[in-house]
Amino acid sequence: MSLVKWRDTGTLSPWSALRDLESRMNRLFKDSPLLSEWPTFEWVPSADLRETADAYLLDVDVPGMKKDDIELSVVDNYITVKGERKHESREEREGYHLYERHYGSFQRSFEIAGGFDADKITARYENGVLHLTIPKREEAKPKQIEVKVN
Amino acid sequence: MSATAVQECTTAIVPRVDIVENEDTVIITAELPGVSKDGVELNVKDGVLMLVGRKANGKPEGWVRLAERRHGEYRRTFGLSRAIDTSRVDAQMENGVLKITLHKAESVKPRRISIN
Repeated sequence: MSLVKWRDTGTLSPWSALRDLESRMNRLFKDSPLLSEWPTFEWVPSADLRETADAYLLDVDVPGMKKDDIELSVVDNYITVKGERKHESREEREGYHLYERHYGSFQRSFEIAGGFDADKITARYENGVLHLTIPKREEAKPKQIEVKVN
Repeated sequence: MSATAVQECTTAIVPRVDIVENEDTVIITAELPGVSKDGVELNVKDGVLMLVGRKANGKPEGWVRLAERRHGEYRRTFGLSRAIDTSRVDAQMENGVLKITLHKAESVKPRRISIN
């Protein structure tokens, strides 16, 4: 059970709890990169994001796709990976003992806070993993500052 | 399943699978993202199908900003009934998805009996 901050509103208002819930929901949607827009997709792939001095490296697990069925787009600081995993023929659907894989459309956006050069992004789809290399803009790279001693 | 030796238990990832049974075959489709064809080990022994998938190990560089993907070995075993002909198992690997085709034993398939 989490502690709820006591708010002294002066009078006991039945709406204060509702307002509280509303502001929490807004914050949840604003802060979460996954819920920043209403979900219109069926599943979300897992991803690793790492940062080196020169670039951001993004790896997304999307096995069983054709390279051409994966869509990548960049808007401002956001990189969006989108696609659809089509199911195999309907006839095979009868007689399912286990059905764990995700099918249908997927979409995920990643905010890359530092500056990056959208034109220089390279992507490779290997063994079902999408590897993106996002080179940083020169200004965004860490610079060594030389300390001079007089 | 015979257990003649002690097997080292390493933490392993359980891969997602779909299993479909058709008239003549049972098809297991397993998701092994990051595993190449050479990284797959598939064995049948004593009626147990064992699948191991190993990712090519690269040293992860840089600072971690997001870490959701599992790393390590994929492992899953499946018990096969006598209805499966274990001498005929086909497997294909493409884009991180392994498709295993098991054939049903002849004796199990419905046979049409003609009436004289």
